[in-house]
Amino acid sequence: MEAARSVTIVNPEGLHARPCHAIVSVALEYGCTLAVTCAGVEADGRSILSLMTLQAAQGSELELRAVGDGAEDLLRRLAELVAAGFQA
Amino acid sequence: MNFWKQFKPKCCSVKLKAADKPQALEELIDNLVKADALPEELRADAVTALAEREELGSTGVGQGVAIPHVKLKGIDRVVCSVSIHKEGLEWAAIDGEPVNIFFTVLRPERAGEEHDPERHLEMMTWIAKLAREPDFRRFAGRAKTKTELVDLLKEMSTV
Repeated sequence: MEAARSVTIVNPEGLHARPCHAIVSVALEYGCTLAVTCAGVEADGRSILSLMTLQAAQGSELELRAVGDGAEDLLRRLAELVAAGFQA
Repeated sequence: MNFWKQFKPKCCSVKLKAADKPQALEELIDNLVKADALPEELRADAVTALAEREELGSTGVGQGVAIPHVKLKGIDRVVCSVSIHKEGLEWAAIDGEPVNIFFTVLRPERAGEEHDPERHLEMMTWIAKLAREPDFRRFAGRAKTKTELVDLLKEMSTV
């Protein structure tokens, strides 16, 4: 199973450590791979350190791509998380 | 990039003694106070802020690295350190592994002459890139002196 989705970072501080932690925590509940691309740079969505290297500020668009069981469900949850400014 | 210049050897440590997370947060802040990088009167606030941040979610980012970081009222520029705990500490890290490399970062609440939030995000990105480097983690763990540790940051400043 494969899924892709675009999301926009809305929280003022961008993709700093805590949002990265939130993304990885959800991603690790699934057996999927998760690639997160921002401005042409791809990161491993299952690694906080990798996600932090994207330097994604507020307004940045992220392309999420998951492959594996539950890929669509994973991206749906991540899209909600990002849209809520990681407050959920 | 010269982010390494923000890390003063006297603020750092190659032999943290703490036995657990609360002790480590105290020790990391104590080292900044002893180095005159953080005023004594902010010691308690800084420890409390770091502890509260850990409750929101562990700063253990995986691969033996933690980045305890918070905004702190009363400072006008970033105060930071890199510290090593030889044996490693349980930190509830994302990968469940003990942590032996700590990047502590205290930053002002607001932008100012000495603090540019965009530049700060760049520094955090640099720290993440550095921490992902197996060579950095290996050599940092073996550093014998604080100066050696900061020299390593300088040497790897272009990651």
